[in-house]
Amino acid sequence: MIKTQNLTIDYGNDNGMFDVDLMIQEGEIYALIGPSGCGKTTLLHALAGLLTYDNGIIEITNRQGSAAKLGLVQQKDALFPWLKVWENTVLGLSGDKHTKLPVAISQLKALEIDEYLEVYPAQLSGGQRQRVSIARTLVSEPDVLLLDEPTASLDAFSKEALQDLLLKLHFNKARTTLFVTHSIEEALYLADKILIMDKGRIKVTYDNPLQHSYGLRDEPEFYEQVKVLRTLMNRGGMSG
Amino acid sequence: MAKWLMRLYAFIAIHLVWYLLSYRLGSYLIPRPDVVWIYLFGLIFKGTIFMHVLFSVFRILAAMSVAFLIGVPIGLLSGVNKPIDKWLSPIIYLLFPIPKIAFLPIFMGLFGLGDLSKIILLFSVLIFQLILSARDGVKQIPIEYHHVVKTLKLSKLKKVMKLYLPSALPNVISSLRVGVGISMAVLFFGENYATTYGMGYFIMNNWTMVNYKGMFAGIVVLAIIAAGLLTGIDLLERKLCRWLTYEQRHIV
Repeated sequence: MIKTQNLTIDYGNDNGMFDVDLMIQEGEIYALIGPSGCGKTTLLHALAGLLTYDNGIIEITNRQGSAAKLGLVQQKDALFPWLKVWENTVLGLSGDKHTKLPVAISQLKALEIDEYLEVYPAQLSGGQRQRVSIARTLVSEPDVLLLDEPTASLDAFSKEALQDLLLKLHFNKARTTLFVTHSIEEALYLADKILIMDKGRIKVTYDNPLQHSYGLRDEPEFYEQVKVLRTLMNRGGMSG
Repeated sequence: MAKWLMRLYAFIAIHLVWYLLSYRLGSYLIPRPDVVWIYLFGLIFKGTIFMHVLFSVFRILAAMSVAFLIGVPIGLLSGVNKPIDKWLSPIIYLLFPIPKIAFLPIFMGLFGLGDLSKIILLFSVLIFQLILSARDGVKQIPIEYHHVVKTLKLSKLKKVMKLYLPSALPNVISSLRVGVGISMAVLFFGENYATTYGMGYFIMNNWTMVNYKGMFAGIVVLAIIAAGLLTGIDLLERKLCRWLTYEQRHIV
């Protein structure tokens, strides 16, 4: 569960985020959308413990109610170029190669990229690299997943493939997830609920009627919902 | 093109220029390459040059190794820790450009007339650039990498071994490469004091005896030592920075 109250980071000149109240229940996927500079990544980084905040409360707990283990996937894959794919995957684990390699293989298999174990990141495509980056995050079994525009730097084909894979992974194990995206379509396709943020504040929390709309991507009701969300985003003069 | 072919090209090009200069300026000033090589083979055959080579190589390798082992950790620490960088950098910026050769008498007074003072002299030349290159390597780490080690909660040792050191290595190795040239020049100077072994002594001794064949043979050996060290550094880079091969393969 992710809960925040009055969460504020003030960078000055109306930049940052202000009085953010958030409540994401166990196993839910939330999307955070909004124009550039609206505070999406600031909120995500604050939740990930990468930023100190000026005011407010953050509580992130697991099913048992104790402090949750967090996993972060960034827009840039940030794979270490000097480590092979399997070494990148198990970066967060301790132990020797004998114990870590099988874990890497199994996680990379789940992300359909296990044939590249022994290669360096420079030998992979953008989509493949992002899968390894997700594998690296999932290998430490996080309770809560924070994703910062994980598909933003990918081409359309790799983007859709990765979205399908993210849904598949969620169906296998439902983790509490918050992901930042610029794409209304991606938010509708993946999320249970969609938060629309503008000028550092969450303006709308939208219940996605097409929850996990696997296979609905080309259907008229999907486009209808895209339209609805776009209208909601445009209302209030959001700039982007 | 094959690497050995490129080396052959360099060898031929340098010898052509050498021949040309010898022809233009006179062989009493610049002896012909074939004369120098025959003289050098004579020295190798008699075995007189080996001790000089051995002493020079030992001094330079000892200085490089110690400078690497001390300079890199200091550089990494300075790159990671802002207060340390704040207090250390101004001192390094002041000391780095000072010609260390000027301190040779002090080093000889402090560490004796033997090898140690010469190794310390070379060490003092190399250490600052190694500290700065390691520091800058760490400072260039993208913020996303720092986020990764933070969210994965890596231990300090693991951060050093998996992030800081590999990030700094390409810089450090480039710095070692540049250091070879400077070290050879400083070594040449340092070996002219209180020693009868080393390529610096060998070259200057032949110079004062107006044996230009010997002097040039010494310069050739010095060039071979430097080329050997640079090749060694290339091999070290290939071993330690294997990933660079894949990153640079497609860059034109």
